[in-house]
Amino acid sequence: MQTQGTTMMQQARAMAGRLSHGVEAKLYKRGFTQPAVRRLITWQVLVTLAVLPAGVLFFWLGLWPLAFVAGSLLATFNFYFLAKSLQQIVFVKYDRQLLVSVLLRFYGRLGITAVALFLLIVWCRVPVVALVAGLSTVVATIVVWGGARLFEQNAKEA
Amino acid sequence: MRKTFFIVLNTMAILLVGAVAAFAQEHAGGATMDASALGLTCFAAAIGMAIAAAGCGIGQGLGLKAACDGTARNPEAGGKIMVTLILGLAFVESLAIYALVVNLILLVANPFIG
Repeated sequence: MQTQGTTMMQQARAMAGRLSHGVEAKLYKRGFTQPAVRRLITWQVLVTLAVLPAGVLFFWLGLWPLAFVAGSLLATFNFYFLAKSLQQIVFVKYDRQLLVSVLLRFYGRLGITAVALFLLIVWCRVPVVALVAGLSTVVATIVVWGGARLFEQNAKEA
Repeated sequence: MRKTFFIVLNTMAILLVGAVAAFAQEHAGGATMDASALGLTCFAAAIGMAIAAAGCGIGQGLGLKAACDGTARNPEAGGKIMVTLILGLAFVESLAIYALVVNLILLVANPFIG
């Protein structure tokens, strides 16, 4: 019984590893050349991918799981495009057209987020606590990622 | 500085009184909420979002300034600086989003309105 559990854990870990590798490869193709940024966004995408089926599975509990999933998706969308636009600003050679496109995308992202929040809160009347919890997944991911990095650094020094 | 602060506070107080009076006139009949409370709610939402936006703007500006300084002084450290910058901006932006959520609740999904 215990061996079966261990095997399942190993299989789940291997699957998560493959998924993470796939997401990282796709991010690299989309221009995320910085390894640390890529890894951070991969973590966030994996969290969202983990939350999605959970939200769909528990939809019978009411709007709470769906609100959490919606918040998580919104936060991931926001974070992804923030990282992408910052990377473009810092690492791509200055160009007036690029500047305009980055600015437009930045404000477009903020507008889309605001409209989505408005629709979710006003029209769909989702539970706001669940929505805020979903939005906080980015903060949680960053804190965990920072802790893991700190732990790795300390382990290397020791 | 102190004088400016008092002027700003006084202006806000006058605006507050004016907004309450205006909303009391406009919504005198059919509002489900007390007119003065409605005015105060709208005012609170506007001021709340303004303070959140101002605070987050100052925070993001400071972060961006420091990142630009650092990258200009040491371009090789640009990658590491950018990672920290992204983290900082994400944190700050999430605060602004929380403020937006709270203000939307106050304005259009207020749980205290029957």
